Order: sequence, then C-alpha cells, then structure tokens
Amino acid sequence: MTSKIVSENLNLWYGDKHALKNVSLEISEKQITALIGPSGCGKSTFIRCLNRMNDLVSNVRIEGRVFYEDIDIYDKNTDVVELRKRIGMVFQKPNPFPMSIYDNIAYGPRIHGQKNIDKIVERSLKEAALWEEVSERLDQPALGLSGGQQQRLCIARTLAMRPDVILFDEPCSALDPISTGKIESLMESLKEEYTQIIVTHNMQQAARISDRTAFFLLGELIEVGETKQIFEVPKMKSTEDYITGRFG
Amino acid sequence: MIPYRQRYRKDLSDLISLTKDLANQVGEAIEKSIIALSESNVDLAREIIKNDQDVDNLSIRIENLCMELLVLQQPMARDLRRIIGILKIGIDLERIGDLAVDIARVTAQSQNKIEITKLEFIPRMAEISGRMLRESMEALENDDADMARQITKWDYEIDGLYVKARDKLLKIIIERPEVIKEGTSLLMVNRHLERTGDHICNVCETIVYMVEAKREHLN
Repeated sequence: MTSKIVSENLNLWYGDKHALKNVSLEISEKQITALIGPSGCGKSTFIRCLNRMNDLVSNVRIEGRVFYEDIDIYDKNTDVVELRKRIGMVFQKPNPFPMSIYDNIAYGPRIHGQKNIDKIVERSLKEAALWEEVSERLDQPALGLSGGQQQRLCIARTLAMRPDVILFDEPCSALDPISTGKIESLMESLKEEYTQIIVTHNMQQAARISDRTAFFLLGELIEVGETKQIFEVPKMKSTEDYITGRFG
Repeated sequence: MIPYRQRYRKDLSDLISLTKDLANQVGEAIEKSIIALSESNVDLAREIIKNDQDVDNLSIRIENLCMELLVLQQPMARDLRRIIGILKIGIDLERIGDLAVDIARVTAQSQNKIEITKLEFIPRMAEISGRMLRESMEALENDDADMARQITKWDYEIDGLYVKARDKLLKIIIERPEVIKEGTSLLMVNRHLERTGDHICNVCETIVYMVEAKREHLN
C-alpha cells in the first residue's frame, strides 16, 4: 500500500506542554485511517499538523518532518494555501457559512477563479450524498439545514476543492445515529478517490469504517495496525486496556 | 476515583462464576450417573434426569448474559473473546449434562445382567473427566492457557480406557449373547464418557483462544 502522508519523529509543544512525542506514522493512500485515544492524547493535534492548522495557534513549536507525497509540509517554501487545497478538513461541529447552500459550495472554487461553478456545485453535492435533498432549494440558507445535512454540506464544500486527502476531526460527535450512518456511508463511498483520516472518540465507529487504526496516548503513538487486528488482538496492553474500557 | 465501567466488569466476572457453577453441576451429574449405574440406583438416576432442567436453565442464563453484554457494552478484544468463549464453553458443558442424562437413562432401564463393578475402566473414565473438568474451570478463572493445554493430555488416558472397556464389553457380549441389549447400552455409556473427555478438551481449546487469541487443536 502506497503511503500518502508520512510523519517522521514529529514533536509538538504548546508552550511548555509536550503534546506530540516522536510520532512516526504512515497514512496509506485511499484508505480510511482512524485515530483513537482518550481526550488530550494528541490525535486532533496530530491531524491538525497535516495541513498546518496548528500554524494558527500561538506559542506552538514543531519539530520533525511531515511529508505529503514528496512535499515537505513544514518546508518554508511550501505554499500553505495550496497544501490546504490538497488536504481538506471537516470539523467536529458543522460550520456552514451564513449564506445559501449553493454559495457555500461555490465559495472556494470562485476564490480560486474556477469556472463551471454550477457543475462543481452539483458534482460536490452528489458526491456528498446531499444533492437529492437540496437540489430544489440551492438558494436557501445553509443554516436552515439539519445538523447532519450541514455536516454533509461541509464535506461537499471540502470536495469542491478537489482535495486529495480529507481530515475529519470527530465529524459525527454532534450528529444522531441516522446522520452518523449517512456520513459513514459517504466516507465509504469516498474511499475510491480520497485518502481519509478520522479522529473519533467512538470506537465502534473506528471499527466500522476504518482500514487502519492508530492508538494515541499522552502524546505518543502507541500502536498502529489493521483495524481488525487492533480491535481483535491488539499488541500493546495499553491499547487493549483502552479499547476494552479499562480506562477512558 | 470512580470505578470505571464497574457494572460491565462485574457482569464479565459473573459470567466466569456462572460458568463454574454450570461445570460443577454437570460434573456432579456425570459422577452421580456412574454411581447410579454401579449401584443400580434408579432413584438417583431419575434425580439426575430431573436436575438436567437446572443445567439447561443455567446455560440459558449464561447465554442471555452474554447476549446482554454484546448488545449493551459492545465488547472488544479480550473481553469479546471471553464472551464468545463462554458461549462456546456453555454449549460443551450443556452437552456433558446431556451425556450424564443419557447414562442415567441406561441405569433407569437396566436389568442388572452385567455387573458394572467388573468394568472398572468406566468409573475410572468418569473420575478422570471429573478432574479434567474441575481443573479446566481453574484454568478459566486464572486465564491460564498452559494449564488448559496440560489438562487435555488426560484425554489420551480416557481414550485408552475407552478402548479397554469396549473390548471387555464386546467379549462379555460374545460370551453371553443374552446380555446383548444391556451390553450395547453399556457400550453407549462408554462412548458417552469418551465424548465427555472430548468436550472438556474443547473447553480447554476455547480457554487458550480466550487468553492468547490462538486457535489450537489440542485433541
């Protein structure tokens, strides 16, 4: 399996707090990788490193290297805007812009001067399995959609930029089981074209949808492997203790 | 500190206790079935047949608790193996209970034409299987895969005794054709005891799987 993203001895400090400790992890292409671990273990910090979202946090210091294909993400010559086009992100809380459904999707492509916006909007909404629900009301405010629809809209907005990798930071934690099921099916369908990384607190979700799972604890990557192996026969005791609920 | 998932941990530990209770019940049933056979004690044989309902009820209770844990707690890794293992062990133990009932039925219908005391191999098989069963529950409680492996070696002894008892019974039947019906029933008893050993070996294989996630064929 080809690696799409590789981190090498990645360390991150928020001020004095050492939040990531020597994390070396390979993310396989066109697979879903789940990052699990208790709160504060560094999993969200880690994915935020992959498209340099942590640059926006003050007092952050990063050491080590992260490669996206052959691009050194933290090289001073790396174009961050271009990087974030290639590595899109969906957040925990759906965050549509306060504008119409259409404009939410069109926003990014317009800024980048793309043409055929109608086609991009339709294709993105179809890919995000939202088209049938909203095609008759594209001019309506996006904030009028349900939470689950808003989250799929945010995914469609990410897809409109034709990314290569999508980072999901607990995308279903604010959603009901039906909406969660739709997002999971959507992720499954996106596997053919996109590399996906999901941070989730829901271990059943990680088990259901991911191909590989990485377990983080106190800023360290404890274990990574095929999801089936991690949930059936984890190698490390702390992984087993976490997934069997011996600590949380 | 508040104990984490206290109820879940208690239910998992209850599963082991209930399984040990089930093993005690079927172990006692096998032991008593051979006493009843040796002493031609029809009352005791009927008691074993009647008590099998308790064995069935307990195995259903274990099965229900496993189901409840699977549905409500979504267990993973060793917890999941423990529950799947207990479900399998429950089936083997319940079958041992049924074999005890089958042996008791032979006593209930016996005409005492063959002296069971002459078939010393049969009580010996029951004795060994009783010991294997007790030790297997110790291995289960202590998560001791090596002990489980060791226990299965006793099954060779049972298999050897089975062959000896079978040959002896066949000799009796050939010499005294009038006891053919009873002799055939005793051949079945012999077979039931041999099968009991096999079921306990299955239990031991399951314990190895529960503890080490390895599938081993131990017998």
